[in-house]
Amino acid sequence: MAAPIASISDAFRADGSASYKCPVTGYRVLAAVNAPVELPARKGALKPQEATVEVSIRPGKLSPSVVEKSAESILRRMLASVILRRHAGYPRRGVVITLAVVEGEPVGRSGTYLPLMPALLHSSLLALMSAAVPLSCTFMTLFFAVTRSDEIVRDPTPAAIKDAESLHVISFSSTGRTLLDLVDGPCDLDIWATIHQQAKDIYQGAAVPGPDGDISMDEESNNAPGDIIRETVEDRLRRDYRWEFETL
Amino acid sequence: MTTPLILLPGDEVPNDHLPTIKSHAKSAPLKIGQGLRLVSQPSTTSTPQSRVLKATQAGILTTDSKRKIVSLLSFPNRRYTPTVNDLVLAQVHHSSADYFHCILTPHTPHAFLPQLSFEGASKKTRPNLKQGDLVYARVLSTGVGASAEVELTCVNPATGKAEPGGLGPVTGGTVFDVSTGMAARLLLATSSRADDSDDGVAGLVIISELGRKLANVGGFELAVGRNGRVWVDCPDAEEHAVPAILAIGRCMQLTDEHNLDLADQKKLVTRTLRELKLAS
Amino acid sequence: MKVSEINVNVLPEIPGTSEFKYFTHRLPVLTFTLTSPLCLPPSTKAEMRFLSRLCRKFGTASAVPAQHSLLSFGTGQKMSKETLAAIEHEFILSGLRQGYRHDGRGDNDYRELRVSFGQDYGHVNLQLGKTSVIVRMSATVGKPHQDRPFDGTFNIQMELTPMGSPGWEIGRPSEYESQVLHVLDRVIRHSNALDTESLCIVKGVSCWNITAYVHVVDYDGNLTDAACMAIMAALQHFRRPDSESRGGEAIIYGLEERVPVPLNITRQPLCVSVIFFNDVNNQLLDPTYKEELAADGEFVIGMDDSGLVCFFEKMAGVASQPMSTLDMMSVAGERIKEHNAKLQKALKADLAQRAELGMTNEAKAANDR
Repeated sequence: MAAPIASISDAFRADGSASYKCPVTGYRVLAAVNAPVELPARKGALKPQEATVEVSIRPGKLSPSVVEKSAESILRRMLASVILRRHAGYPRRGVVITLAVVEGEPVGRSGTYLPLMPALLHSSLLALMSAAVPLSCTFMTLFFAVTRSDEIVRDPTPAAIKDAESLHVISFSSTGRTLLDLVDGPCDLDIWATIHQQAKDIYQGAAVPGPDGDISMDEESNNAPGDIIRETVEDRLRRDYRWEFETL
Repeated sequence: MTTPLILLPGDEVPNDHLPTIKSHAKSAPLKIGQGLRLVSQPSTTSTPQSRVLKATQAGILTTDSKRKIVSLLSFPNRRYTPTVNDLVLAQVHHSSADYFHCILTPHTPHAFLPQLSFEGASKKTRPNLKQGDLVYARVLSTGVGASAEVELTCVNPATGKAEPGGLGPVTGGTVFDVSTGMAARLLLATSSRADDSDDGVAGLVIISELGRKLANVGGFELAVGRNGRVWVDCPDAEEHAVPAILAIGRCMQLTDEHNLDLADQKKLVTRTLRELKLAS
Repeated sequence: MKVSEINVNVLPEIPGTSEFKYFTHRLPVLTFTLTSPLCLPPSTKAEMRFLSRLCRKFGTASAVPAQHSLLSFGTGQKMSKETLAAIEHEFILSGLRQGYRHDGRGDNDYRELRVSFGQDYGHVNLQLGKTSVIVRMSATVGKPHQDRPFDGTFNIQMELTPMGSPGWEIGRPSEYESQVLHVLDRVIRHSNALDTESLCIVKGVSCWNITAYVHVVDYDGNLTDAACMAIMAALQHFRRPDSESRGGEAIIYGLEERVPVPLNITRQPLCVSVIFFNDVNNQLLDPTYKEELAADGEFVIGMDDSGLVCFFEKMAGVASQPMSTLDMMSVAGERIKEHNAKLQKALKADLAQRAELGMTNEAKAANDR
């Protein structure tokens, strides 16, 4: 399995920006964060004690529709739970997150947004860090499909997604909380629990038994998305602060 | 120096990276800087003495053991957030009865600069600033709670006098936009002008290089605002003023953009001055 | 050089548009295409409309004295809520007086232009200095307009989101957004750069709807020219699925069944935005964001490779000098030729790369067999 490709802080105008690509699904998402900013259009809705989080998704080659709206509200709720909205300088201001799907086939009106969730969430996280928005923790998101024969596939291909019985997106915070658990399609409780356990194992960096009970020895196949995020941030910070550490 | 420790939000600061503090001594307490927060309950069972510091941003941990400050260096392109005592270049948006309403960064609420907070200002002698005028000011307070409003001042509130930093309206020259990270480095580089070493200050040699090479046109003045704006003027350069100011601005912005090291900065200065026909 | 006479002729060429030619004393013929929004057939009515517009632009319609300034029209409002500091504005002007642009360019120079293509057909990444846009194309099958049964449709969608600039808000389209869209629409769509008749599958029943989606990733001035180039590159890069009509029914072939077909591009119009300064008497091409903020006025020239002017409009701001405006026409023509050449080169390189990739894939497939 090819590792995701990520970069951070490429944009010039936005306060924070990032790009994240899932090679298996082919989705690449650009994220931009502006914070803390004034939201003149939402003056009435601003809360006096905390920041307002706004998320908008642009689906690439379609006009935004109801599916984007529902994905936006899922992202907004989840990201708001991670952002320290009462941090000094943030109450009554906005954290504006803009996401554009720049590669990959768009989701139609009747489609499911679950395959896009890892790219959307990880690019948002990177862009939030790039803009130095205070966060309580980081998170990582895993994506599974359950085939008709009840087999669990991690990071399914577009063909596997099409044939899948159910799709699952699970997010864990770096503090160990489950932030998001989305299921699309019928799924019985046992399978759900198995997936949850498997996700937890990946999250904790444990080796995961393959479908035939073997433990995969392939390093590549088990790299958790959290590692890619950490590497991207560390690389960029080392580059940005080269002056501080190379001259000494 | 050891390899820098990089933390992501939610990561705990390892205790061995904190400056040692004797709990009973009269030494100054530990100050928590930007990007960190104190989490009240320790995550592991430990002595009540131990504190748990967690990162709220992604950044490199820095400790100042002399002043007992621990903070994170975050991405340099972030938006400026006002902190008390910062020097800023504020742009007047409009004035009301008692205040000038100023822009620190675009699309954030205005900061307030009282019309009487200038040296020697009285009801009759207060400066008449118009929209678009720039003021070099200090952040006096950032307020608390929901109504957090940023107040600026151009005098030392204790003495009522302007500070040696030269606070007040700026005229002539121009301003350049740089990243907030670059602004902080420039402040370090300009405040310790005395040491003229070749190693530069805060990884910057452009200022001392330009100072040396532009001496023949009368040198230049610089005022760095933490909000990512730098004011530059060459009052004595006469017909060379425009190219000299442009050279300074271009060197700052290109160093910032391409994250140039010391050798490249020197090359940049030479090249820019040649392009602008200020040096052969 | 004096303009002795300007004649206005109505030359219908494309239905729904009227063409007007300016015969000037020495200049080559400038051809202006005017599209009436109501799709009126060229008539005295359309002529009247154009004359009244000319009156507003040029002062008097029939003959423009050489030193007569263009009358300003438009709202006169700058598109951004952000303003320059007073000394910054003054410094930009004094720089121009002495012949300095902030980034060291000449008045008629463009910033570095970079074009790359994505994996999909019609995916273009284009950067002009720090301004960066991504265009993606889509082709869907739909029903043609009732009054145009032989035509498919082509649309340009663009929304300025906070990604490009923190000042842009979602759900509150700015005047700037509609201005840029208006120019793109006129230059690309109304000049019939894409032959919409070739998009017809079954007369009156089904046709292709082609849409270009423009994403502004970063904004540092001159969005109009960058977006125009990116859309034109995308139109030429895009391949739609093959289709045919059999017994009044539309048959669409999948990308695996038949090689997808390129769009029928009839001409390659691009636009050049010019900003000008009143008291400095400078006209600049490819302005940065700061230069745009400092400018007193702006006009846009749209032209194709052969030098046919398909669009000219003066936007908000003060009056410009008609003679220097006309001078800009030939400069714009040169730039447009250069840009088209650059786009063609990039397109060819991408095509060659794809062909090579296709060959290796074929070889691989043969090997597997």
